[in-house]
Amino acid sequence: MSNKNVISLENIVHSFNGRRVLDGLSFSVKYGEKLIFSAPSGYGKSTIFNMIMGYLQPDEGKVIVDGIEVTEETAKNIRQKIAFLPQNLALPNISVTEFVHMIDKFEGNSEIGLDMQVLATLFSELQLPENVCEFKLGALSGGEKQRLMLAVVIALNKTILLLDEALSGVDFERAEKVLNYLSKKKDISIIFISHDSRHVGIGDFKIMEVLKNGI
Amino acid sequence: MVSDQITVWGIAVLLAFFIPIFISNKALGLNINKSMIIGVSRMIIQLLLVGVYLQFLFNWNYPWLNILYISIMVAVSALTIIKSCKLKRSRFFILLFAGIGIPLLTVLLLVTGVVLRLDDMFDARYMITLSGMLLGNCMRSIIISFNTFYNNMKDNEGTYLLYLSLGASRAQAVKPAIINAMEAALKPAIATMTTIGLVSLPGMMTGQMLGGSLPLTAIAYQIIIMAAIFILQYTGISIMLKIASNISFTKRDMLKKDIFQT
Repeated sequence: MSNKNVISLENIVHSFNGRRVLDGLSFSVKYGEKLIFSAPSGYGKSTIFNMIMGYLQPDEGKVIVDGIEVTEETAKNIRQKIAFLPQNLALPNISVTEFVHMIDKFEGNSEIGLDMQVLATLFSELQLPENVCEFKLGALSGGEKQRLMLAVVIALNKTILLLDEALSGVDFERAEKVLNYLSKKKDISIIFISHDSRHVGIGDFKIMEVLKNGI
Repeated sequence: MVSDQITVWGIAVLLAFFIPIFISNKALGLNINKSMIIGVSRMIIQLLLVGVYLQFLFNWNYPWLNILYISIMVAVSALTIIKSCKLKRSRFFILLFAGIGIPLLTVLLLVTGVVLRLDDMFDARYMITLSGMLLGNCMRSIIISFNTFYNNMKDNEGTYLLYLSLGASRAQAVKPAIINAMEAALKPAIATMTTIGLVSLPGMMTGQMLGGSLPLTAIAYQIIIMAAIFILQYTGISIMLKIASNISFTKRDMLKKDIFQT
């Protein structure tokens, strides 16, 4: 594993409505590193992801992705290196096939695109129904949506994955399979928000050091 | 005498039928008499005033004056859209003025110059009356499209962010909201075209026939008007939604809060 930092947050301070959510937070993720981020709700975990994606500007401090500071000017290009799976999935009510084709055509995926073979393998590994592609997204259960989206973000072949509670609807055995699968991808750096302590230590997934001191 | 057939006395007889309506409202406890009186009074006064100044405009028939008059109509439309959609005037007025005014003038000249082949393309009798019909419809469509677009962006922020997070450009991520806005704005116009003549006779056509035109002449004008209205609605909505999707987002692709009235 290279020692190069893929994501660095330096002295991040951020407040919402006068309440300080992040107070001098610093951490970094190295190339290929897989970190599990676990903290009580309200600790600004999603805020951190929004800053890495360039949706939100910190009040103070810097966010650096792949050596480039995330700013108004760079946010769009930086976003193309990342696949972010938010916790609350607001999916349109179209068929899985239409959805997958739509994502494949997104501008940020034009270079590599969705790996359909990986997607099919993951659909099977994650025990989605055989004919899932014919389903409308609205007809899938919460857990099925989560597994489907997890397969999609992995198949996007991005070098950075941000997963917000992406396995909360997946039973432990399947979650273990997914985490082991992701651990084999040595060129992908992952930050995975999870409240399940059993996920720590699976494959290369380690607990994020910063949490030992709190945020 | 107002025209060959219509007298002030005739209009007064028709308006007298409002009196039993007022009495009925009172008896039913329907509290709309005041607004009805204001509405009817305003209709009569406004139309009389329009009649007077249109008569002057038609007599003078200066192209620059006609364009100036249409510009005022476009400005009022732009302000009405801004107010109805609760947008900031400073950010939207000029864009709406140009976004409506340029396609309006193009469609007007297409109708007067190419379709009707008038010697004077800026003839007040055609240009101002057509502008009124075209603008009213275009304004309603833009209000529907803007309200649908911004409500969609607010209600479906999660889906928009998900698309961005999966590699979509802003244009790709707002596309569903744009499609919804266009559908919402154009469906009533399509429904009107579909049922015209079956469910209702349009006011302009009826007015023309009552004024002595042959039905076929009135119908030909109506087809021209309906087509022109739809072309302007489609063009106006497309241009304004494109502009809205460019100016309503920060460089970080988040919907700006300061474009709305507080």
